[in-house]
Amino acid sequence: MLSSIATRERSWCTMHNLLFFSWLRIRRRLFWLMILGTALLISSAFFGITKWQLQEENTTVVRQLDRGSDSLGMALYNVPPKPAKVPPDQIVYWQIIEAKKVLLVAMHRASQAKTAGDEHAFLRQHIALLQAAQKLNHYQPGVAAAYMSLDAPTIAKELKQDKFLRSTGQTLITSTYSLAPRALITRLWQLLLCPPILIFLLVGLNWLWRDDFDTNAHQFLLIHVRHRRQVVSENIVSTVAATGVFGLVSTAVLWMLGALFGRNEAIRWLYPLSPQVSLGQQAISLALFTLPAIVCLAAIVQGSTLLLHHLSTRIAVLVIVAAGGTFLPLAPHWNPFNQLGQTLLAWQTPVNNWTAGILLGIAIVLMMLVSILLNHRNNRLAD
Amino acid sequence: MTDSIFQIQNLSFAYHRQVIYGQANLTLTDPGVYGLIGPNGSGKSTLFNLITRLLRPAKGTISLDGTVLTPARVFASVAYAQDSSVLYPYLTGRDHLRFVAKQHGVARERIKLLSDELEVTDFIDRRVARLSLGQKQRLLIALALLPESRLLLMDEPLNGLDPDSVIIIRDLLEAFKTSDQIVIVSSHNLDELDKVTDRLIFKVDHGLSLETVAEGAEARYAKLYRHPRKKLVHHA
Amino acid sequence: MIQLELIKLWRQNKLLPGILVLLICMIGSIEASLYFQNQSVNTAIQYSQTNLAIFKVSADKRWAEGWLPDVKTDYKSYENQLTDLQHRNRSAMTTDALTSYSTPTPYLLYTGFDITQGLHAGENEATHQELLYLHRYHIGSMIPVTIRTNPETAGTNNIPANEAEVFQNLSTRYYECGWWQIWFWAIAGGLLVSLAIINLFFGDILASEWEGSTDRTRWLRLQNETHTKLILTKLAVHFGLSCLLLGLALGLFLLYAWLRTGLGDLRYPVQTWALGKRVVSFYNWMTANAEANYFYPLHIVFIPLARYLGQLSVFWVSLLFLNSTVTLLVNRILHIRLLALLTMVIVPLLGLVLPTSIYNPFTYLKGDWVITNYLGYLLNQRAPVFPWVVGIMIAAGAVCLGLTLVPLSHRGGVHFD
Repeated sequence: MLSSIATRERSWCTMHNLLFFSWLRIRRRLFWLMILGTALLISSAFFGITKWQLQEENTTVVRQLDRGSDSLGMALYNVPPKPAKVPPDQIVYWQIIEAKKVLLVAMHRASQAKTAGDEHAFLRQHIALLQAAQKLNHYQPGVAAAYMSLDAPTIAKELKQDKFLRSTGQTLITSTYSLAPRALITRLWQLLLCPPILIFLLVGLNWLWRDDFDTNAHQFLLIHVRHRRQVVSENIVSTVAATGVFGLVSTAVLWMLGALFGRNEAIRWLYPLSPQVSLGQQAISLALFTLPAIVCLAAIVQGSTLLLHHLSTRIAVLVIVAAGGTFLPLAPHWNPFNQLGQTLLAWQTPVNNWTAGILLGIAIVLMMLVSILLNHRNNRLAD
Repeated sequence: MTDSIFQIQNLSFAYHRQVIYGQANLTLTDPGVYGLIGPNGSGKSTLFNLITRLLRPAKGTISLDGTVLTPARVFASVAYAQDSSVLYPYLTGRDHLRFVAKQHGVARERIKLLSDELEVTDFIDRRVARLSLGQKQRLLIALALLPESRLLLMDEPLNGLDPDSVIIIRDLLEAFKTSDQIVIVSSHNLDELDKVTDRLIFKVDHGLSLETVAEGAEARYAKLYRHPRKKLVHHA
Repeated sequence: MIQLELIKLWRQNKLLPGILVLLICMIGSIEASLYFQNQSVNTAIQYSQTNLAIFKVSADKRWAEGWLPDVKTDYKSYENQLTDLQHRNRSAMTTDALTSYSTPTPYLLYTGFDITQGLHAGENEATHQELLYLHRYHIGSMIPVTIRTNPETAGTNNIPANEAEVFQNLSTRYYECGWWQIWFWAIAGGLLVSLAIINLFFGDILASEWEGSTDRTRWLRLQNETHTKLILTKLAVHFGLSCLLLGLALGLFLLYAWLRTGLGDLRYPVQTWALGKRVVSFYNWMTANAEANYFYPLHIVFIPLARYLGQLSVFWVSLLFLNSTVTLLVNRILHIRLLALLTMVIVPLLGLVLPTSIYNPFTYLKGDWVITNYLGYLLNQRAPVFPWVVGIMIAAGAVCLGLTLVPLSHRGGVHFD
């Protein structure tokens, strides 16, 4: 009993010392500065690209609305004056004309609100527009589609969502681009956790391991640890910490940029991305995946460093493996890589959270494999 | 069976299909300093890497005090002064020493003691990248001496040392002669080796041969390895 | 010195893995095209069968006493489309599609009878022209037959939301033959991906000379080799090897494609934009003429694929030159090997995510837009932009080279020692 406590204490001391040594290495090479700089750069670039994409998307929305209102305008141009007393056989006709007028006004105002960047007003006009389209479809089924490319079930679905958004004080996200902080950071994490991207990031952030095993320095480390698995575990911890710092800084920067420039939008965690999943649920799923994904891919990077000497080949193999695991249609529902890839491509797709457990299992197995490899591997730099 | 302290039995190892060791045997029964001699590329560093489990032998065992050396046992009982490429160029000597001291549970005072003894103190807070080869060698020896190990391996410790430093290392090795530790020193500086020990381990073919050499290391080396060769001719 | 550089790269084991990775991506791309094409054809067959059944039921109901002769002809035509699709008969599909596109209300059986009404007349017009071209030169169409669209008009088509998937099927092509795949890469940003792969292997060509505090260029200087000669040698090696790597990978890929699916017809029509007279639309909708002249003074012209690929090769080589000079400049600034390598991999990939804009330099690197002169339309140019873009790329490369050649004091650049 006493000896097991002593062993545990010794292990903790070793781990503590190894971690401190890693921190020294990070500090002395100004690696922390590079992490911060890259985080700043990536989050700013992400924000810039999103802003740009959103602008393009808004322009398209305005163009579509204008095209619809132009068509409607042309349709209403030759309408004769409404008689004071509408004959019974013309009642429906005039109801259609009225609905078209309402639709035209709503489309025009929605376009103006979008151009002015008033997202709350846009939502109000969008609701008015959908209601008018619904009314129009009621009098003349399917006719609204000619002006706004929406069929009746889609109009009903969007109207329901819009009303919910209005009642909760939120604004509308047309596709995936939004400058609201919550939406921004969810998108960022979806991007960062997509395996081909994350592996690329970890190739950089797992510098300590590469610095050891691409040089003779690993001999120094291996000689001075009781168990080589301690080196593996310590590196995983430091990689997770480095990635964590990177993620937190990026998130904080992005949040600030969102808070500064995305004030015209109001997006809460309960924003419904689809009837099945909200923004908050998606964020929770991502949080569940974060640690297993980092550990798993860090272990893959560790293994590849031990097995593949050439840096370029190593990165190529890593990216191909990660991209293959993510995008090849192999058991997609139970493939955690595929789930992470899907959520980036279509953020409204619900994630199978159980696969985070599978990912954790894979991560632990991979860590063990790397430990075994380290014990059985010959030093490739021997003379 | 003799009471061996350190034993290598039937050691076989090949690297890139080139056999380095084939059924090599070595038994050391007494503590003290031993020289390890062999031509360049013959596998002296490889032997040290095999002892410290940085390399895995294809066959055979290496044991210390009757126990087979595993990574954990190496950590507890073997110290290894490697070549200077194992040091982190951007860390200082003190960073390295503190790390090793903590790993082995050695008191900090010992760092001071050894630094003074090996005259490392002057450059202990300088980054390794800015140290001369001799300074790095002294730092590596200090690192190896921090934990008190049963077996001490020194890979070319005299490389790049100035005469004063050579004297320091020579004095140190002299002290080991009377300790209960085994010290194996690989070196091409046969004169210096002669001064500290006459027990030499030669790498012959794929094996190891322990000899007590009275005629001097240089003469034995010439007999074992030196082939007649053409003299270099300088053209004006 | 060039020999030394080549030996270094060979020993670093960069050439063969580089070709292999490029080849894997190329083969992956064609295999993915075939996989999705198969899915698309199956979906098209299903849709066709459904549409045919609907047509039959409604026709039976309407003409219970017996179908009129033109209804019978229509039905026969629909049936032919389905049979040809099932047999993947390219030339027959071209003829069928041309027949159905030569009516005032063009359609394709598997997309239903209404969808083309929501398209720009220009798109229908271009599709009609393409089918005529295919028919005239007896070229089998890609399967399934799709409409000719472009980013400008595709964004404003009036497609009902419930038919978005149908529109997707109607406008997505699968370039399943060798030459066609190369065309596809030019459209889909494959040029930038190939640059990223080349940079993954050669992106640190200069930075690899510096490692921590080691500066290997000092050794070269001792051999009386100047900085200028070093940079020019590196440039020659980088550019030469980039061309060689890509050329070899393309050669091997074409061999694979030839054995797998064939190389495809080099006369295949490619949609381009050129100056021309106003088009009088074949169709008689109210806005048909206006929409057919959407790009005026430019209008849609079809050129053979061989000409397109010839221009593409010039564009590609210029792009490789620019890439080589940018790599050297970045390496000159960033002395950290991994950082230089990752930067040079990420930079071309940025082109795939940055939105299209005249302010985005990557917009000018879209090979397809430059060659087809779609970029000319975006920039309001009457003359073809191809020679200008290629000239500017070479000039930009020369500027980068000039900047790289500027000697910096000591070991200028970013270090973290």
